[in-house]
Amino acid sequence: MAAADVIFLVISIIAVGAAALAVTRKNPIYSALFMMVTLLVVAAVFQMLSSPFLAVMQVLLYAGAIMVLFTFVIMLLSLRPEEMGETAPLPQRIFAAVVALGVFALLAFPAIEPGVPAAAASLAPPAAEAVRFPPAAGTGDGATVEFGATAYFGHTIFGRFVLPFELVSILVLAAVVAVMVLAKRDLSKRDVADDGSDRDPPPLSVSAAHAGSIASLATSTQPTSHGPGA
Amino acid sequence: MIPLAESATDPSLAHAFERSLEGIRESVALFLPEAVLTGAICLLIVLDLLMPKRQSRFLMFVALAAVVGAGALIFFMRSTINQPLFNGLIVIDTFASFLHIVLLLGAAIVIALSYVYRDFENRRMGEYYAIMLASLLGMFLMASANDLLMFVIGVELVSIPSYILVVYTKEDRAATEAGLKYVLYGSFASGVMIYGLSLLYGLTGSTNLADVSRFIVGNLDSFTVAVASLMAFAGFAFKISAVPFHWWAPDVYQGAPTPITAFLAVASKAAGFALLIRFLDAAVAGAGESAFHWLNAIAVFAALTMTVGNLAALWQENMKRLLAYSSIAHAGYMLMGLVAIGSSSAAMGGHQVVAFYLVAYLFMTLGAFVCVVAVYNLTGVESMSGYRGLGRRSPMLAFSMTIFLVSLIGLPPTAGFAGKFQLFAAAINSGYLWLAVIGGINTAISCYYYLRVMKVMYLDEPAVEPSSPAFVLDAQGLRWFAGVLVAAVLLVGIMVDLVARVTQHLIIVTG
Amino acid sequence: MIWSLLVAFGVFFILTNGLPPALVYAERKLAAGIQNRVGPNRVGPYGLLQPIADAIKLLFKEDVTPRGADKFLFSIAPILSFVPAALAFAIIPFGNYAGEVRLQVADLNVGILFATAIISLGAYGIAFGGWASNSKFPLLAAVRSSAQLISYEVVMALALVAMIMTYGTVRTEVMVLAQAVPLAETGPFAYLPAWGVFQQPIAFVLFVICCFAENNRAPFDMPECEAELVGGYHTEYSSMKFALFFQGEYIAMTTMSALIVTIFLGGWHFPGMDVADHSVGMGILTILVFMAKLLGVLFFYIWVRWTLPRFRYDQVMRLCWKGCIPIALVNIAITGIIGVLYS
Repeated sequence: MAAADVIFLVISIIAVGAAALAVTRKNPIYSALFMMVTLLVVAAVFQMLSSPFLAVMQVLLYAGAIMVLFTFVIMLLSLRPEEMGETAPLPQRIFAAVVALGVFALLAFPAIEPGVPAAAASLAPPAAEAVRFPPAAGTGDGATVEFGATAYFGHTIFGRFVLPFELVSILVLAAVVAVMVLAKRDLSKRDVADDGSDRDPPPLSVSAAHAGSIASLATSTQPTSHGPGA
Repeated sequence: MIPLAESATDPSLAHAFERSLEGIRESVALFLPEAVLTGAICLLIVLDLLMPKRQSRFLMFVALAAVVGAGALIFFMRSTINQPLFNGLIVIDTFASFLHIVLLLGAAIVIALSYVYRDFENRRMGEYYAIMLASLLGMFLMASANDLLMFVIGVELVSIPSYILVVYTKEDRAATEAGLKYVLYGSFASGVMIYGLSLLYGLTGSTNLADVSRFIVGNLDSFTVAVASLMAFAGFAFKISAVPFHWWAPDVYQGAPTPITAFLAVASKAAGFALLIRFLDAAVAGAGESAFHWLNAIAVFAALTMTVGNLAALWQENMKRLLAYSSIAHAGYMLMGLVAIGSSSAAMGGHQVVAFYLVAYLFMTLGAFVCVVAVYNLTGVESMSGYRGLGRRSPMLAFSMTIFLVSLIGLPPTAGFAGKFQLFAAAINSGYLWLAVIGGINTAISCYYYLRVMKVMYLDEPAVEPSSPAFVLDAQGLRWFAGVLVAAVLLVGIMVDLVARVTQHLIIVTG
Repeated sequence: MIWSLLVAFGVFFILTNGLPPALVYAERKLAAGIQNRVGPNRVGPYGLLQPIADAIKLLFKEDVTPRGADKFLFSIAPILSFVPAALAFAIIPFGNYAGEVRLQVADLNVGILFATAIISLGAYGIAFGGWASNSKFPLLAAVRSSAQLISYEVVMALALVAMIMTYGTVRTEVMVLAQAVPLAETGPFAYLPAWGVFQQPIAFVLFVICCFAENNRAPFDMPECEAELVGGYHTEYSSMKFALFFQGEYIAMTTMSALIVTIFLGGWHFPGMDVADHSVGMGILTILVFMAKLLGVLFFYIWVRWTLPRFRYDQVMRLCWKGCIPIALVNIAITGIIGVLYS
């Protein structure tokens, strides 16, 4: 076994193990922790596939930003053990396991089905080459830019794939506006809310009242509210 | 002073970069309608910021202008164009342009409907229209996607804004619940779809639809291809609410604000069908006879979808829920037409008949929702009780509703009949007589619940008094609105030949 | 090769582990000077051994774990805050070449992006530390800090985008070389080096603000403002764990300062130095130049802390989302326009 194989074996064991731990932990903050481990290890896989840019983005965005927000929310909720939901009854768990195994088998089969990879190779080479994504690095006029390097990504995203890039930015714009719509407090409704009819949930927006609302959340936390109870 | 890029000196990369930029420059001019929509999104967000809240509902006219402008541009620029754009990422062909027009029509009606909807009163509406246009842009891409990457982006660009539109009346518990359900089901469905598409990419090494198509046609019997395609199909089926991916539809349709229900039922479904047709066309059309088990699978889905939709509709008391099941059933009918996707006949090809039916479906379903909004504005109820004695209270509204229901059943001389006739004919032509028989039985079942609404409107005593006189004026406008749609339904029904002649020329270009 | 590694790691170790105690001393002395006091002066001459005394004291203190705390997370939180800060230092070129020896631990293809990615992981240490303590004030501090770190990471990344556009690279080594030329061919600006601070003054200011915020240093020391939150996220920590938090903070400060030096202040280069000279003497000189600049920035850090009052939390957030981010975006647009016009 080559060194790369050993490394790959180790990181895949860590990735799968951490993923399994993430779904089996009862305490959500541990789930978040192991999820983060999985994401970091997947970054290592990207690095092994000679895509350092992707690896760094994985760490920066998933492990560094999204999971931090997850932890943030979990900490704000600070669930007591009895609030963490009951364990599903045994028959239901068995059923879920069977379904999960079935789906796994369905997904695993493509990896071992004989004949298909050969079929993929049988694609007419010129056509396959012309549209291959991403184009094979190092071909053409003595290219020196590494596949997976930052410059390579830049040229691909702002060249061939500029349309998807711009469309995704519209998607993000729409999502940002949407979040504002959901989160903002309707100030004119405040008088109505005083009679106790329908009150908007406290938003996660930033205002002078923000610190106060978090403080009230924090103080409402019971002293032995979290941890494994040790 | 500032070097733009270290690698700008690298000849091959710079060359490839230049070449792709050339392709993009050529494509930008033809992309103008989408650019108009994008510009309108930004304009709406900014205007909404500057306008006082009470006036923000007038931003409807900006959105409407954008939709009309985009429609005009498509009509004059693209109606005869058949070519891939942006290095083959999307394709503008007559099929795409036709669907774009259909989507714009649907969006225009929904935008106008939102303007008068009771629950949208005293609400900031600029953002609403901006989000809706973003969703519409996603539907545009779904209709013209020619690359698996654009499939994904199109679906997401439709879905994420739709989730928000469903909960736009966020203090309404039903809407919030509907939104949550929609997000959960929707993100799971797109996840499954993306997994399937990524399997296809892994198999072919390309995201371009032409390459994927070539690979699938060469490996129709492969289990892996079947799994991948089925997973992709799950995503499309979710969008068109086909059984067994329909669970979200009744709850979401019932909880969402009615204009959004209409938007999901019509525009979202049309875009989903466009994507499904593009995928099937690429996968099956070239394969001919050897694709029979794919078509069989579609036929089974069609039979299941219409049967489940119609049977579940029988017991519905809430009008929006009833229309939700009805829209599931109609997805089944349209799937039935899709078995003809490999047909060589231009008049009875799968995508031609479905495109025709989408037009009919657009008018009759939106018409029914206009009536729902009108009744809701007057009485504040969406359940069947609000329709009691509508024939006496508001004869014109009741008459319009009757026409829409007749069309939904599929009786002449309405658009529904013309469309359904083509669907059945296409199925029989392709040798799926059993499917047509099931469709016939289903149509008979559907008579029951559609006719029941008519019975309630004309034979039952009025029970609910108008609750809000302020909306009577709007109801007046809505009556005319419904009247226009009645005219459209009847016109399409009578002038079948004209519409059919347009749809016959729809060509799908892949490459 | 092996020498290269050894030297690199040696300097790296000194910078990340030897500097913090010295910084603690410097901070206390400077604070005393600013506040017109004497500062530490009992242990050793001029109190120079004070940090060592402090370290010994911390080591031998009782290691208290509060009841109800999550033991595992409580223990790894200080490590999680310490490691990323030290790791990010790996991409800093702290000198040119000393003979064959390259004075940089890792010249990564992704360069500066690696630093931002690793620094973003630092939030976990604070978040877990605050949560696992099972105490309300640390929790509050942790929540505040998570929000603050995420917000200012955005500004930091946007400021970096402008710099990446300016230099046309993400590699720190190339960035330093790009600053080793005059700002202009002729005219008065020919006497200035093409340092980032002269090319991109707005990005510089933004980046420095972010460095302060990312380090939770005054005036952004939200997570530990004593008046409101007792001691911040490490209220419940004692002994070695507390020391690790403490050291992690100073290492993060050093790393951030090194980033500022590398991106904006010409790195190890000083006008007049020949970048092609790979002799050992020149190598040592470049390290000294780097160290001098680094200490200058660190002095600025301490100076600011003892001069400016703390922001209120909502002011911190407003400054970020309504002030810095729009400015950073405009800055990127301007950089792009200038780049297109001049190329």
